[in-house]
Amino acid sequence: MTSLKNTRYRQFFPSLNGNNQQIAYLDSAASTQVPEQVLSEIEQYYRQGHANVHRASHSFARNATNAFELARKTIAEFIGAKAQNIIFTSGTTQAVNLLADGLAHLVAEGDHIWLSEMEHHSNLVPWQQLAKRNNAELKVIPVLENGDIDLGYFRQHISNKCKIVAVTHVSNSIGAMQPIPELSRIAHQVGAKIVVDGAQAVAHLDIDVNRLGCDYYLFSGHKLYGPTGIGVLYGAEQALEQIQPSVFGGEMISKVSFEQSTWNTLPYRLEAGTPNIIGAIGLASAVQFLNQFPLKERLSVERSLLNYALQKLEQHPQVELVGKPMMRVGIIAFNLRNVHPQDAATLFDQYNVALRCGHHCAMPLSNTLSPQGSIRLSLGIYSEQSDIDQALDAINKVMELFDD
Amino acid sequence: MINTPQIELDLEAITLRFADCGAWEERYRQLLLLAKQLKPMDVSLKIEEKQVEGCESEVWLHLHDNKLYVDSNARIIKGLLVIVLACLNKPTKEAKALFNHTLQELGLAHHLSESRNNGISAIWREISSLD
Repeated sequence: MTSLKNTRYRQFFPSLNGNNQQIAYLDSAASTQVPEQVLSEIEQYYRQGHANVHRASHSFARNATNAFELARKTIAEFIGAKAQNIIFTSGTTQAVNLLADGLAHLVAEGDHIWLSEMEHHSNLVPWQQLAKRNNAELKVIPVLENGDIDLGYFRQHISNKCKIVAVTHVSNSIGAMQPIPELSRIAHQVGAKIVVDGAQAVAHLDIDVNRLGCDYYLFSGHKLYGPTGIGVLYGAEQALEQIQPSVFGGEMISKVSFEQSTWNTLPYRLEAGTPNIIGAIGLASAVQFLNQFPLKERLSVERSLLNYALQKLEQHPQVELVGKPMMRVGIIAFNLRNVHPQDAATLFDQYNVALRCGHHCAMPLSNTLSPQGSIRLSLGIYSEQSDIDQALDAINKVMELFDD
Repeated sequence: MINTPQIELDLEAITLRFADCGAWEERYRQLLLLAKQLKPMDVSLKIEEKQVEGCESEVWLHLHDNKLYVDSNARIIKGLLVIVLACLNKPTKEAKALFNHTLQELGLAHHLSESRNNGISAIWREISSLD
């Protein structure tokens, strides 16, 4: 095995250098570290003069508006979209809520909303609540034993009662990648809209929304090396028009009287109030940071590292993998034999290995695959073989402690 | 005062077990061994209604005839539960202070204090509500 040493990317992340070099950060699925470039871009924006966007005509305001709209364009191009198809949100969760409210008019009594069993609570609860409000039915695509969804079941049971299909691109708890182009075709055959939660995919795959064929694609900035509090809702042209505004206020209107209001054009009518300007600029900067590296190489380095970790964990006699999906992206879930995941996480922390334990905000899937929860290892662009080795070393030490 | 029939060790005996511990691993080893000192809780009591909310692991708590029974499927928590029980020969408020003091003394406070998301504060909340 050749060494997968990869200091090339890590050097750009101040939080992983300096005093924190002993920490193996393997929790990027929860949130990613932020590169120097993004930090300085944020600082520079505030230092050069900040103002509200789309309002005044003074130079601070013009600069802010230009930077904000340029950010929209940069982020749009990153996923193969146009600027006017990008709505800024506070994150994936808000994007799902915006859709569950804004598409409520499409769902009548007795209609179906389909999800997969592996959805994060944020792509489950808003739809569940919509179904309750509209007397519609929530339908679930079950997960097979290996953690992939049962596509056959979905094909067989979906009907034209289905109005919305909401699925994750990559499962946040086991890393399973869903066949989105195929799911989009199935959804469109019955005239349904398809919503794709891209939170765990966007930093790890080459995303082209046109190739995916989905109506909506959502992701968060803080899992893409950007700041927290900024997220994106992409909508295809027709699909975006169908979202009725559910958050009202300044910026999203064109005319207001005490009797009535008319709405602004897209994307603004879905962005009420002052947007997260600095969040958008920070996220665009993170995208530019990624764009400077050849995409294929960046993704293949990460894939090699994931395979290395997978191979080592699979071979470990005391490790039990949770879910063995056909296509895996960025994440491995596992348990240590006879060790509760919470005990493991407490000890991993002692060994400076940052991992996540628990149900990973996906209780239905967790209850199916591993009721007591699991340990989740996830990679970022800065992850190195030494991080994996440190985790493996910690696993051995934990097992030694538990052996007594 | 609450009775704690699941343990035979008192706080002094527990503290003694940690007396020669150097590295943190040894302290954890003792804590994990301590977990084995907890006599099992009746399986029929390990039901959802007896579960303490706010713990990442499962913790069960049952009070009957002024006797307190606890258990967890996480061993570190189970070890901590033994220390909790050993502190309960005092009114709850004092017992909680004694528990925190004991963790300090045993060199475990830094890793396992209430602020960590391990459910210890939820367990104390539950015990306090028994008063």
